[in-house]
Parts: sequence; C-alpha cells; structure tokens
Amino acid sequence: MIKPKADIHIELKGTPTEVRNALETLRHKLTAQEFAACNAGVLEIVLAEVLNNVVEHALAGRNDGQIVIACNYADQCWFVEVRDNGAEMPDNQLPDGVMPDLDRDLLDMPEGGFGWGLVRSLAQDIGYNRHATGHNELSFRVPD
Amino acid sequence: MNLSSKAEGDALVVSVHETRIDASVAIQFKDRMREETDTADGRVVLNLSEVDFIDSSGLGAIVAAMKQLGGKNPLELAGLNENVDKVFRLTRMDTVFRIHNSLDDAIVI
Repeated sequence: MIKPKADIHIELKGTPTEVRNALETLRHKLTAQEFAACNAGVLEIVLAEVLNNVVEHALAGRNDGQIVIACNYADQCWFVEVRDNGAEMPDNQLPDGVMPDLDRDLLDMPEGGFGWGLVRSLAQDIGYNRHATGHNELSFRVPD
Repeated sequence: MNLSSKAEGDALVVSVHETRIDASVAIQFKDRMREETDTADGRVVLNLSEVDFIDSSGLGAIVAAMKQLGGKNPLELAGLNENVDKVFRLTRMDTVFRIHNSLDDAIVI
C-alpha cells in the first residue's frame, strides 16, 4: 500500500508552551493519518529538541519569535524542515552534539546539554542555511 | 504538574499523573518533586507509567530531582515507555539511574 505524503504544516510562536502544543498537534495529525507506527515517536523527540533549541537560543529574549515546521513522508523516511526568525547559529555552524560526560559524581551530573546529542543520534542529513531575510532553515531526515 | 506519593514497602513511590515532562513544565516538576519527597527516608521510585513523552529538559529535571534527594535517598525509575526509555539510553542516563521494568519490580526488591 502506498501511504500518502503526510504534508504536515504547523506554525507556532517561539515559547515552550507553543512547542508543547505544536508537538501535540503533530501527534494528533500523525495518528489521524495512521502514521503513528512510522517511527513517529523518534520524529517527536528530534523535533522537540530542535524546537527547544530555537526557543532557548535563537529566539532568546524575543517576543516576536515565529517558527514554521513542514513534515513529509516518502520512501520510509520523514523529511522535515524547520524555519525560524531568530538569531543565526553561533559561527553559522550546527552544534556538534557531543553528549555530556557522565563519568562524575552523582551530585555533579549534568542537567542539560543533551538536546543536540539526541538530534545527532536520531536524525540524518542535517542541513542548515541562514537566509539573507534573517531566517534560519534547518532540514533533516528521520528514517522510519 | 500533578504528582502523588505513597509509601510502598521500603520505598516512597512518586507517581507522575501527566503525559509529558518537557521544557514547559520542567521547573514545576522539580518543585513538585521537592515537595513530594520532602520527608523521604530511603529510596524513591519515580513511577513514569502515565508519561508518554519526555524531552532533554524533562530529563534534566529528573536529574535535578535526583541531585536534590542527595546520595542518601537514591532516585530509581519505573514504568518507562519505549520513547522515554530511548531518551535515557541515548543520553546514557540509563547508566546513572536504576531502571525497573515495572512498578511491581521496583517495589518487591
């Protein structure tokens, strides 16, 4: 059976609550189109980390942040694009995504710094473009 | 952030009655954990069976709760679904926390 392209488009403002609502909307759309079994959980993890990163860094201190997500499914793979009107990535480079070192005392365990490690672990073909219009565009694939 | 706690055997079981622990609720989660485990004396089992999604901020909040409890009251986890478990494994936090297959397993030990 050939599955339809998911053709999901979600727009949100750059706040943590809007990120939560967007991911819940995504989940509803995927369930409604019977895509829940197509590695939708991993897609949700990756998108959550990408969006949190945009909100916490690119859009830090801003109240006019806008984010647009586009998701399509083809050939057992999710193709995702995320655009935002925030600041560019430091040095115009994607974070290296090295997971924090856990070889330390329990009470010194890191409480953050895992986001891009998760993205790098789960997504493929991650691309980044800074546009002259002042937008960031991130694209990646998540295999089913 | 709806949490409840109950003594079960030698453990204090804290159950999360929410479907998501994410960046939008991470601080509330940490605060509610402090309240629920204020009188803990021994191990604390965090029952995540109603949680179907955590992000790295939620993970960080669970780590913060573990640190809040200090070394005397270890924080253990139970009831992780596939996606929650994946976040713990990929970040290698599964090597930091004792993770039980089920709440029943966590209690009888």
